[in-house]
Formats: sequence, C-alpha cells, structure tokens
Amino acid sequence: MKKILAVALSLVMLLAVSVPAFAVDIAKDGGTGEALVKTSTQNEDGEEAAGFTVSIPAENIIPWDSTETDFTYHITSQLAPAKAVSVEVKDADEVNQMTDVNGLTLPYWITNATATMTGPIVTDQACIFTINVDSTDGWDKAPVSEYSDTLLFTASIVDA
Amino acid sequence: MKKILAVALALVMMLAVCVPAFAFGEDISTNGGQSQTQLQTLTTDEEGNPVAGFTVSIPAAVEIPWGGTSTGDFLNWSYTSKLETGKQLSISVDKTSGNLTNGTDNLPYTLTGDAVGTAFLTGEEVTEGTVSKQIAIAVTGWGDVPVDAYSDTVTFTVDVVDIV
Repeated sequence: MKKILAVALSLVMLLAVSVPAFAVDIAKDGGTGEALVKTSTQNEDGEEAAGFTVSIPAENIIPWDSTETDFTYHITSQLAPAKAVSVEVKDADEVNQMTDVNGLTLPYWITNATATMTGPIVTDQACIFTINVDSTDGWDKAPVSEYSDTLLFTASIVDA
Repeated sequence: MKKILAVALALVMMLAVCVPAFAFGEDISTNGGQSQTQLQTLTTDEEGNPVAGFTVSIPAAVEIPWGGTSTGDFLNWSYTSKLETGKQLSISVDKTSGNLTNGTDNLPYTLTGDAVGTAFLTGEEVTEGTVSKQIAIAVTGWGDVPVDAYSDTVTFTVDVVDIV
C-alpha cells in the first residue's frame, strides 16, 4: 500500500511540474481570449541563436625597421541583453619574441591588446592591435632574417 | 377508526395532486376520420439547458524560433457553432501589427489572415465539425536586437450577430 501511494504521489508531483500549453476556448457571446506570441532564443534548428564571430588575419606582415605596425581583426556579435564580446591578443607562448629558423630572436610587445565591445549587437567592428619593435634593442641588433611568432586571440563574453 | 380515516384522507390527497394527462384536441371516432396534433421542438435540452452555443479555440501561446520559421509562423485557431436560425459568429483580433518586447527592446510584427483588420463572419448557424483557421505572423528586425525572449498578446473577441 505504501509503495502504491509513493508511486501515485510521484506521478502527481510530476504532473504538477509539467506546464502544458492548453488552448483558450471562448464560448460566450462577447467573450474574449488571449494568445501569447513569444520568441524563443533558439533558431528553428534548435540551436542557440546568440553568438559571435571574431575574424582574424592568417598572417600579419611587419616591414623591416617598423617600430609600430597595426593589424586589424573584426568582430560581429548578437548576444543576450547586457552582454558583449571581449577579445585579448597575446603571444601564444608569452615570451614576446619572434624567432627565425636559426633560433635568432627579435623582441616585441603588443599594445591595444584587448578590445571589449560596448553592447551585444556589433556588425563587423574593426579592432586594431599594434606590434611594437624597438629600433635600438630590436631592429638594430637583429641580423636580417625572417622572424615570426604565433599570436593567440582569446574571445569571451562579458557583461557590457 | 382514526387510523383508517387518516390513511383514507392521505390517499384522497394524493389522488388530488395527480394531474392525469387527458388527451386534448379532437377525438377520431369515425372510420377514415382525421385529426391533427402539433409536433414541436424546444431550444433547450431535456435538462432545460439552451443548446445553441459555439466554441472558438485559440492557443494559449505561440512560440516563434529566433529568426522565424523558414516556412512561416502562424497562430492556428478554430471554431465550431450551433446557433439559432439567422445567427452567425463574428470573430476579430485586436490588432493588425504590434511589437514583441522584452521590456527594453522591440521586435515589430504584422498579422495577416481572417479576423485581422476586419471581423471574420462565419456565414452560417451550424458548422460541419471544427473549422480551422490561420493567422500569419511576420516578425522583422531579428538582427537589430539582443537575443532574448520577446512577447506580446493578441486578443480575440467573439460575438453572435445576425446573418445579413
């Protein structure tokens, strides 16, 4: 008897949690009824519609002797209210040195490394970061070669 | 003796309350003779309830996926009616367009279909089963607002009116 009661109570609780969308029937002369029209935050494929894209260049070429070189990436986003995309650019190994095939190094640093959007809706927003190489301690001391390094872009959603 | 008299009086009172259903109208007592009697329906059922009525069914909620549905978004409603002679239903909604809102931003929408803009008249007293109807909902500006739950209510009003 106790087991039957326990099962019955469980069913009652389950039914209480379920919220079926019943129809509204109007059967009175002069009667009214309301239908709520609402949007989902998922698209028709069931995927969350909120999202963003950060488009970064595959290569960033620095002319020899250039002490400041600007590079551009783009952000497009449509997020929930009061949210925004934030992107940080940094050296992947955090050493801040470009190296050539022979292991020679050319130090650099990044300015404007972080860009945070002001709101959830952004369309192809151009963001600029700068690669800085010191002329005296950098270019003047480096044998002429092709130096390279890998940059890491990290995108996150923050409160606007 | 008193008991016998009491029972007899009770029986007399019961017989007095009974109202025998005597036939009225003419009695036919001639071979080949004819007479008429009236056959008539009521507009109430055997419990005395009026039988004329109708039901207009609308959804409690219509959910539109973000960006809309590629085949269109619709508010499906239906009606049945069994009305008195010369009567029909007049069904209307309270708007042709509006804004779905999250309290801060808006998504404009328009409605098209029967009962939108002009009251829909059913044109008949009795429907054959349930009649289904659709109102198309067109939402615009999906890319202009943050992704959130936006909503608005559409109110249906139903009246019984004369068939003109």
